[in-house]
Amino acid sequence: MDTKLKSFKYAMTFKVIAFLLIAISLTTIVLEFQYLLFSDIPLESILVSRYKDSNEFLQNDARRAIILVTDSISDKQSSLANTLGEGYYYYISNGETVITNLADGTADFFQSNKDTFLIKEGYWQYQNNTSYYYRPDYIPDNVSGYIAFSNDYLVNKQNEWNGYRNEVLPIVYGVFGTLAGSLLLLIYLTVVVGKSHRQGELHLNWLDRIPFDVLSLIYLMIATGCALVISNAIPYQYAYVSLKLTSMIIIGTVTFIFLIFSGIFYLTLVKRIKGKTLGKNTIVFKLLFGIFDYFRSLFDGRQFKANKLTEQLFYRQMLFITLSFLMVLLTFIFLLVPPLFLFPPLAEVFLIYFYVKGNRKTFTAIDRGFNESIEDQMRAERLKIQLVTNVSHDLKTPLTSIISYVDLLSKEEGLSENAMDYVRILADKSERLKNIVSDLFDLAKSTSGNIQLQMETIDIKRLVEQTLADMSDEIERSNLQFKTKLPGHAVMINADGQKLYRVLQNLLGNTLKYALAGTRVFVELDEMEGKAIVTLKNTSSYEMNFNEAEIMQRFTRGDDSRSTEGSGLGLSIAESFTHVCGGDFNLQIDGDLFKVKLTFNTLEV
Amino acid sequence: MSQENILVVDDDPEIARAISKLLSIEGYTPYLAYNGLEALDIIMTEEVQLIILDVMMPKLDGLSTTMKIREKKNIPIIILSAKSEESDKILGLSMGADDYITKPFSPPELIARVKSQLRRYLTLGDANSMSLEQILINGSLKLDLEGMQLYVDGEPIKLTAKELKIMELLMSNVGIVFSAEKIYERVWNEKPYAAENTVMVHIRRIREKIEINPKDPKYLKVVWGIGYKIEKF
Repeated sequence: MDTKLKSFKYAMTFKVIAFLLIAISLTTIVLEFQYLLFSDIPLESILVSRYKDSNEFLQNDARRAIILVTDSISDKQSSLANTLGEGYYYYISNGETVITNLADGTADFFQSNKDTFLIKEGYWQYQNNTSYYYRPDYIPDNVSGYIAFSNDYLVNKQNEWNGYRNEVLPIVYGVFGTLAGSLLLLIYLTVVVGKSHRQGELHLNWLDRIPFDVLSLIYLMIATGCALVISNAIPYQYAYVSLKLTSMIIIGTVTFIFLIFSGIFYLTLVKRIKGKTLGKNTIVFKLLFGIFDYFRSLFDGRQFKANKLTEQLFYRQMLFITLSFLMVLLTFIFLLVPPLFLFPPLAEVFLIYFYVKGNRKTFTAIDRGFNESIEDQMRAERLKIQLVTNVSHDLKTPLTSIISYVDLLSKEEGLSENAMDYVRILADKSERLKNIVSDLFDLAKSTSGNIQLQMETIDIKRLVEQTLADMSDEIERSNLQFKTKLPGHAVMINADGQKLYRVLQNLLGNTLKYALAGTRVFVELDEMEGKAIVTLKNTSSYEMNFNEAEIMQRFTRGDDSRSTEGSGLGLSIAESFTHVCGGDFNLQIDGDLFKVKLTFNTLEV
Repeated sequence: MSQENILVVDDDPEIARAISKLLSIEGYTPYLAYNGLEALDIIMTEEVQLIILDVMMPKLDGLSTTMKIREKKNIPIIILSAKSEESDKILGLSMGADDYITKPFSPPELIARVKSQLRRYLTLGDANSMSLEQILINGSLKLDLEGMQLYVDGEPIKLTAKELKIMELLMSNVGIVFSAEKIYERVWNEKPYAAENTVMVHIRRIREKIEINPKDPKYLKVVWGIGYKIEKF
């Protein structure tokens, strides 16, 4: 159960759900705020429960009362003067005149009222809130005043206030709830992102491989775009409801999109920090590091690891440039002291002399090394040719003896029936050995590039026809149907006819040996786009449970029994000879279909 | 009847012995030499009708030996070598050898070639003396145009009319390559149809009749991708 939960924690679906949940929650919050903004509800009501403690009260009701009451004593005319005393009791006096709406005409009423505004030290102050100071005008010392709101008025206002609170508070709790939930999900995602199980390796996807600075730029552009759309979509406060609704839809959508991108950006950021690739995987870093590394490689020897002579050359060059620069500088400085300015050019002459001399020495050494390596190569080449020739001779000589003596033995009289049988087997096998050795050396020579070629302009169509005619007896005997498709005109290529005949002979020989009796064999020649393509297709008589590379391996035989005649080198020789003739050898096995394609460049006639 | 002396030169004594044994079975008298110098000594002292010569030998190699022999004598020389490249064969033949066999050789083929060379050397004599207009001669091939008969080493060969016509065309143009269409036009006197196949099949038949080893023809050659020709000897 526990492990099940854990593996579930790292499941992809779960992560995606969490991710979308965050985006949806945050979008909802934004929309809720927008809704609050659009409704005329004072947001203060969220925090302040009593209306008379609110700024709303102080800024609106209290301020208006204070202004009117204060103005009334200083004889200032106000358009609102007729509303004086609405919902509150007041008393103001400058020692001579008393203005009040209280019946008894004294300020005694205010002594018992705790929520009184009164003038103290030239300011209106509020008994309930000691930090409240307000004066609409300069108030002379002799003026004393009181304002207290009536209970009825306050109760009314408080009810209204409670109405706001009832509407706003659930939204606020909801916002905090979703915010807290989103935060938890975000922490969860931060922990599990990039891992498929607890101890798992960090998986970086293609997004995490985009250089961070590029990604940041893209993100910034998206964010700017979203901000532009949103700022244009906010309607003014008194717009129609329908306009507000459209605006909310637009803002909601854009916010959601923005949040998705932000989330992806945040998660790749987290992954990069986890994988410690944040700094390294930036174009700026790579660029700076590349430049730095190049300069470092010049001096720590890496650049010249294999080329000591180039290293010498490089340092000499650097020294020369630095010193020359210095000399030029000195020349300018010494211009102030006329006789001395001749020295730097003189020194430069010596500098050039030693520079050229040193370089020549290095170049000579390089030339020598180059020549030596060419000689080495030639020697190795000669050795290879010698090896092939010598081994060939060393194998053929004893084989000649074997064949000759087996022949003599077969002519011997008085041999038992058994002995005659053995001699026949020996003759057979030595003949086969002869073929293998001969094929082996053909192959060795052609693969080592030591084959003698007689390249001439030949007609490959004619060659295919000649080869087919040459083998016509075997073909007729074979129980196979040969289907040839050749072009009506000559197809000229440059190749060694004898070698190419060998290629076709080997391939047709293979076909005759391994094609399923009664099936068709296709021999085709196509000419297209400057290429002559010979295709040979046949159906195999046995299951080809090997691939193209395996069959091309030397000594691989179609049948595992290895009992039939042949050296097992036929295909290798065909391939190698095709290559020495400048052609391309392509072999395909598709189920029972065996297909060989030879491609040559045609000659322009 | 044949008591011809044949000199076998090979630095490998086993091979030399095997060849001499093969020859003596056929009724020839073999002489053995293990390098070129020994071979030259024997030629000076003995009457030899044919030489079988290895190429890679100590002291004096086969090619130099051939040149030395050709300075004085006209005996048929068959080179027997492990070198199988076409260029090796051409070099050997141009040095004055009459035939070239690669090791490992097949004993019956060797014997056949020996017989062919001896017949030509002993019974046909000097080719030049017989150069009449009606007779085409190339190496051991002789085509009598009058009697319409082909001889190989003096032996008459049975050829069909078309085969003879092909041989006539090729032998009167020794060394020249003919395409199948050309041969078809000249021999069949018709517009070429399926020429390649027809001509090739005929060529193969002829080859089986006149060549000792049809798989490695000496005279009638296919120039792959071009045509057919008779090698000049």
